[in-house]
Amino acid sequence: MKLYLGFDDTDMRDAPVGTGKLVRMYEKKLPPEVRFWGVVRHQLLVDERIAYTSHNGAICAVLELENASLVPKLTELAEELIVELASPGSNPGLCVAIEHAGLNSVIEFGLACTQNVCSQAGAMAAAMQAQIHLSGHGGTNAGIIGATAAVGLTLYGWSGRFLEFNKLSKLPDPVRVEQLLERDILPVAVDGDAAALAPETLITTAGWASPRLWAGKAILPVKLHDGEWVSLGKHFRATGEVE
Amino acid sequence: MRIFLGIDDTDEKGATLGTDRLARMMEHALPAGASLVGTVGHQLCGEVAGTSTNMATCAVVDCPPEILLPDLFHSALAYVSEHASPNSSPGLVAATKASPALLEFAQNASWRRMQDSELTAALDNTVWAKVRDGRGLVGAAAAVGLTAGGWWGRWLEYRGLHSFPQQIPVSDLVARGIRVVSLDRDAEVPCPSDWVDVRDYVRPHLLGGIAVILVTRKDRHLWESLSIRRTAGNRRRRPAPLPKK
Repeated sequence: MKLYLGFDDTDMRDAPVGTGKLVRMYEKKLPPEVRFWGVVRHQLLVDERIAYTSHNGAICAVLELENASLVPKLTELAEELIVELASPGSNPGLCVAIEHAGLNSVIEFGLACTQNVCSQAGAMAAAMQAQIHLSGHGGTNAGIIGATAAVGLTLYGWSGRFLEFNKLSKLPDPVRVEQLLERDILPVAVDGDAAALAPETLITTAGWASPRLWAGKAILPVKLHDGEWVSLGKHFRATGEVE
Repeated sequence: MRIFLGIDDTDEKGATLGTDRLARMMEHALPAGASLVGTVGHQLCGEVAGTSTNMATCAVVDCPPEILLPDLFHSALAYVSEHASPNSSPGLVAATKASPALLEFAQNASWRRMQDSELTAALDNTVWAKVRDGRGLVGAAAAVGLTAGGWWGRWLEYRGLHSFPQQIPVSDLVARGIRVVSLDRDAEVPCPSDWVDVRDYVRPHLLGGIAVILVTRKDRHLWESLSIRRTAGNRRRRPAPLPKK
């Protein structure tokens, strides 16, 4: 089963330990019977009424475990790390949900946070309805909003990009399709043909493969550029046509 | 129940009725209660003699439980036999899902020429038929495998696609079962009240088993679908995979 941990507002600008780094440190503390599935960054609404550190992104770490009895221990581990490493002046929030059928309120809250200014009360109501863990760890506790949203959007399955998934940073560049498939990353051509790619096809990532969370899976969109397959990564913007 | 019905090689050069159009028209021949969700076009390996683009089509049909797969298949077969070009060589394959063997066959057919001998395992748990020589059977099987697999091809028809206005609210697309997904760096979720400029040629991708319009942000509340019109120039630039070591 999957366990979703949303983290938000744990750092300040120029902090030595950002939320992404905190989650990577969390991975290192996990017991061996837990598998670290991935980390997804979600974009929430950017609005002047919302105080955020850089670009109002929230992060969700996803674990795989066999035994639900580990959940309290894993939650405690995350809380301890936040207390230890969160920046002074930050407003950390943590949301923890084991996958089950009654999480619709969290998904709806996550989607709402991409469109509207949402409140802590809304986050608490969604968490209470779904009967999941939600805690604030300092300051205004405003991070509970993003933490809940990050879990909801990951459960939604069609939002955000992976910051980590099966050792993304260790991928060679260019990378072969079969190497991606070995890591459960499916490269998908977003060109006109939308055809399956041969296992030996080379994809250039410029050192920055950034799979998307599509249908709950890690999908790497790729396109043809000057006769080579390239992944759509950090720098892809609406600059022109996809061939 | 969802049924995937692959057809290929139903036309010849100069024919007025192409395979995709035939697949769409086949809706009128379906048993009462069955409905055509849409058709998905698949680009297969281009190294097949006698074809220019080697596109195969899969019709996606939703049926109530009382309609059996063989019944639907025979209706489709009769329609194709009657309307396919006289010198064509149609193949038809129907299945409710793709077996691992069919999925592998289908992906291989995307980048290399398949042999008839490789079809046997792929066609297990399917209903299939050849018309005349049935050279289209390979493409038909591949189209079913790729469509049921859910991650390849583009919808050529999907619930009134051809009647879409150029700009349409995200909520209208969602109501039709089409998801709008951002390709921008931050991969944000487009708001239901935002608009999508589908340009002049909307053909959603088949991703995760559903119809998806991939967009990039054009303005605060306006998204633009990717231009994915296929051209001969684009096809020429598609690099061949490297030879295996």
